Amino acid sequence: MSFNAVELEVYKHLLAAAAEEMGQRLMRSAFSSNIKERRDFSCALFDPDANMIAQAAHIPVHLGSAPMSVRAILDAFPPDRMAPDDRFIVNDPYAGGTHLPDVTLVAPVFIDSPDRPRFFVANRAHHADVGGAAPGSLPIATHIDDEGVRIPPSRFDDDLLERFVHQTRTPDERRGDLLAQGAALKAGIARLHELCRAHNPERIADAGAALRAYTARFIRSIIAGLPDGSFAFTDYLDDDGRGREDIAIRVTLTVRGDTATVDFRDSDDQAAGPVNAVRAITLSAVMYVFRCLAPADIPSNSGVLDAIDILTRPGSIVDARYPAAVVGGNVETSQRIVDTVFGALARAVPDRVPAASCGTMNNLAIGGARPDAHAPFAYYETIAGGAGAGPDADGGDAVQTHMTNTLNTPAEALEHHFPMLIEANAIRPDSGGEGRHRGGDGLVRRYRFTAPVTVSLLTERRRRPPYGLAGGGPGRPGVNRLLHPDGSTSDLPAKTTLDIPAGGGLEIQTPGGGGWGGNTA
Amino acid sequence: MAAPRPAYRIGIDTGGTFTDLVLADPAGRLVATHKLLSTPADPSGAVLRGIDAILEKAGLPPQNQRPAAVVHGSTVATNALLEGAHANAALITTPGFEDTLAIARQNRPELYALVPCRPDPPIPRDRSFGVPGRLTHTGAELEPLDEAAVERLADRLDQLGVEAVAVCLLHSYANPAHERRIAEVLRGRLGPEVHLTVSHELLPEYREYERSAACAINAVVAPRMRRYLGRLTDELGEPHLAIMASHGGTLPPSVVNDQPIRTILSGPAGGVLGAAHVGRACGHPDLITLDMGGTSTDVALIRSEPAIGYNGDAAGLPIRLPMVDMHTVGAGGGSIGWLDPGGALRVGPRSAGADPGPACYGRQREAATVTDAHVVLGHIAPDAVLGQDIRLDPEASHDAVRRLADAAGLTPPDTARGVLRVAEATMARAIQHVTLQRGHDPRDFAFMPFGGAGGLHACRLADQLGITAVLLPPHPGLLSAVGMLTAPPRRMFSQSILHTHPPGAPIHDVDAIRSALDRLSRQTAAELGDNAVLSPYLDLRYEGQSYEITLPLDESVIEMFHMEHRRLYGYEDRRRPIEIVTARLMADGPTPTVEAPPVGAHTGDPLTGRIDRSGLGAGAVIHGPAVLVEYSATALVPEGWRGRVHDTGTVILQREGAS
Repeated sequence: MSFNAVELEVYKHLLAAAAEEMGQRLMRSAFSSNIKERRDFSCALFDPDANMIAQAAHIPVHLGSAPMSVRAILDAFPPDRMAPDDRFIVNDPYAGGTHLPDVTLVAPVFIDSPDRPRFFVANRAHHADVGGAAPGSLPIATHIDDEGVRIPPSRFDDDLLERFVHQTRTPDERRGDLLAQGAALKAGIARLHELCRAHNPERIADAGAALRAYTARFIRSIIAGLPDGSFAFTDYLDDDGRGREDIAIRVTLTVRGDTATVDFRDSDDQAAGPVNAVRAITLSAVMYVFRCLAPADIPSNSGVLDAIDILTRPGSIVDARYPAAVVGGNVETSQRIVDTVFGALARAVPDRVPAASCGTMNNLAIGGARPDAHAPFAYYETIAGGAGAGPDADGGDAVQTHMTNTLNTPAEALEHHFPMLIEANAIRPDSGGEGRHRGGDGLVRRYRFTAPVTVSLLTERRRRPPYGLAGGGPGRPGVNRLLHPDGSTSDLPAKTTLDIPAGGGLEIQTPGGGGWGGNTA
Repeated sequence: MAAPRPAYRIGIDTGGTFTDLVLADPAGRLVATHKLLSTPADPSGAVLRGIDAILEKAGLPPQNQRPAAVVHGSTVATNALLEGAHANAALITTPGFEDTLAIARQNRPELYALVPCRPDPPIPRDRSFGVPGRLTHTGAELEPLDEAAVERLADRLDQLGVEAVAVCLLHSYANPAHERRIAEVLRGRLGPEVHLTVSHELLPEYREYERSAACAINAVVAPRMRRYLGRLTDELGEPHLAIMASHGGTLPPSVVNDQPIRTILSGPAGGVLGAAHVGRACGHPDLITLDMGGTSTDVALIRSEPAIGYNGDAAGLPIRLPMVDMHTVGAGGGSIGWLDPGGALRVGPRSAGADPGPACYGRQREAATVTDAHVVLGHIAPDAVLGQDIRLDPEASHDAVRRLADAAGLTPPDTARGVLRVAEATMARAIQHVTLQRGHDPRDFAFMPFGGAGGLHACRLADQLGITAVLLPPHPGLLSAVGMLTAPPRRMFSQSILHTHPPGAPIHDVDAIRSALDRLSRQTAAELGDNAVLSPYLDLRYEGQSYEITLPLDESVIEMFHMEHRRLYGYEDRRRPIEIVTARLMADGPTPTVEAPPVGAHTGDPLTGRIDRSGLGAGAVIHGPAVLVEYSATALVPEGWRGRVHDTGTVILQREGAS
């Protein structure tokens, strides 16, 4: 198997286009805001050993974790007994998933290979409700069973589909989204068949391996450019929503030549509340950080981790064990893992690393009954914050950072579909950290509800601010505020579920990014 | 409206380097062409001189004695946007939404950027102002408009000396009353010199960021466009000028003054229309076009008519107005080949542009471009004249390619072939974007390259995509100007409806559709007269989705939707209600015809090798391998391809063995 400089580039385009097409189909035919408006999904191609060979650029938190879903399917269902029409599903964080709302579908692809699949295609989408203790499936639970329906690696058929959707609050929407996910798989399969017809299946399979090696070479060259040595950094989660505060994530980054070890074993134990990350999340976060150091357009595949050894301790906050609640591991702890790894990198190469970004996805789930339709609804969104300033530039204002890149839902769409008004969606003044380069400002988003709703907040950086670097100041922590119908307000904790009456509202102020460099003035 | 007097007509395409003109007589026969250097500082200079020259060439009296009807493709709005030459403009919003442009959709364009940033908003934050007043999504008034605040703001804007104001309030598509009132106050206070863009007039569709962005873009390019059109209409007379719009029809200067954003794809739309015209004339109405320039390549789809999209963008900003559906990739003749640290040969996005240009222009020997690869492989003759009278320096191409070959560990010819393959892989993705991703099979189309270098890649790309026919139009440089002469006067209006349609209910009973279309028809009648051909469309989706499918409105539209959804996305769901999101109305005036003079007949043996295209008559047969050379364009006919010159002068190439 050899690929010259030209073939590498040509096959890179071919495989990326196949993943991209799956993504386009899913986005355009899905039903929940999360997929269609916010694009909280990803699509990827895998080799028979569950190595990711191409991913459409969507959501970084799915990067390292998607291969583990395919792996889990392979472990449960021997590939030599799979058939071309088989579809598989998983969302169990303890068997290849990340948190319950992320539901992954996997299909084998047989091409001139009757005995076993030559490829796998998979897509993962964030479902706005998967049952559990609160609408939007973002409860502040202490046991995974309270977070929603857990699907171990399973064969996906109509029977399972119906059983699953009827355990959620929004079965129609769930069914539509899963239908769209299934159709997107089909598009991926068709495209791989076409590619293999034009280019011969062995060659396409080999191209996957060559592209992984190609990405690995990039990452190795980047690690080789870092000074040898060990660099430690600690950052903290505010709390677990269940009374435990200052949960430490401790990392030691050790660079030796062109390989690196990222050791999280000194991190705190897993928590009672839902901020536990399974190992798949930790892999994704580390992969994301190193991917950021590489040029923008290299292929995102499993090769990113070839030269990086990631050490975690089972039972810790970054490698949680059953039955820990994990919904926030994906959406909050992942951000803090990124902050710690960047913090350690800043000790190695201070002039290359940006200050901390807002460090939270500001998760908000809203559920209730639609007054006109008498049908329940569940809506979930994340809210952008300030980006950390870099050595050469101010941080961006009100922009999604690190492990998420989901869009906002237009106020005009939200107000049409749900009983609420958006009263403001504005940049939060003076929330970015001071410095030679200023951290980006966060965002203020204000909701007024026109029917009673149940709201869950899963937020971070409400107490401990995003750090500045090289003398730059920290960003301002976020604020969650309840707006009472009588006009008064009260502060809300970072993580909570509460009922809000009609006429009441919420104001979320998201954190600013850290500043970079001391003020020279 | 009086019947227009039969007139000579002139199509004018302003390009970065050249301004191209074609002249048609009152019967539509093309009688003269003219090419002159563009005058980028004020494009009207070349336009006006070109008109004088082409009329003189044809032995006609000057414009002020017998005015010709001029259709002009203008890059003024596009350039103002791309160069960031924005007018001093302000935005008026609903309070709490002043930062809508700055926040955009809150995502970042580059997923893995260490410091993420977005393009600057077209109107800066300190020029965005909220005025109290609030509507709901049904159009109901929740809070009245604070008229005193509007008056105060008008004073403030006057002091700020703004040249243009965009007004975009929440839910104005459902109820324009507040926007209308603000517009009245501003017009009264600021006078006619200040340009006003009001969102319910420009784009009455829901999604506040996209609507605000369209208004802001319109506002910041409007003053420049108005000055430009003022100069042209002063010289040509307003009734004799029409502007090519992005939607494939023409607009009068008065409409373009109000809505210059509708000309963002003016020139490219002309090119696509020209291609459609050539394709129809030789029996290939369904085409994929490829316009290859120096730094990028535009791809578009034609199914009898150019495909129109409603989700375009420019300069990183969304443009939700109808535009010829075009996909652009960063690979062109000047794109530079380089070896990345992972060992892959890359082409672009960096380009040598026109200056210094490819190595063969002789101004640099370091960067090997796509053009240099062609020189090394002998596709471009050493004595060819490129661009603006530039003599080739083939040695420089060889030097540059050799440098790249050494880095890649390949021979220079393999490297040159590699540069072409990689550039074509990028172009193939653009083609897949407008075909496969829209549910079309590229094999159902013929392929038409234009631009100087498109013909060098056409057959190779066709082979890659399974396309069996390639059309090489005559005078590819004039295609856009010719296309403009085939453009009908056209208006396209839309209105968000957001009506949920239960399964099985008849479509003609829906009041919301009827009243929206009635309103839009009145609007078109006022602008185009009663004789316009009206084509209504609906944007539909299953309830709960966010992406719509646009379909012609007739009794079968619901059935068509299910079928189209299955074709595009692989499934349908007949139990689910359908949401009628937007009503659209396209109104066309009479479509003019254009006829190229027939080329003389050719007899003799099949031609092969290097062929001078200008000497070819109709019926001439070409056997690949061959290189077809003409002024400013070269085409490659590989082994296995055969061509025949059509009566119109178009060379029709067919893959051997294909029917």
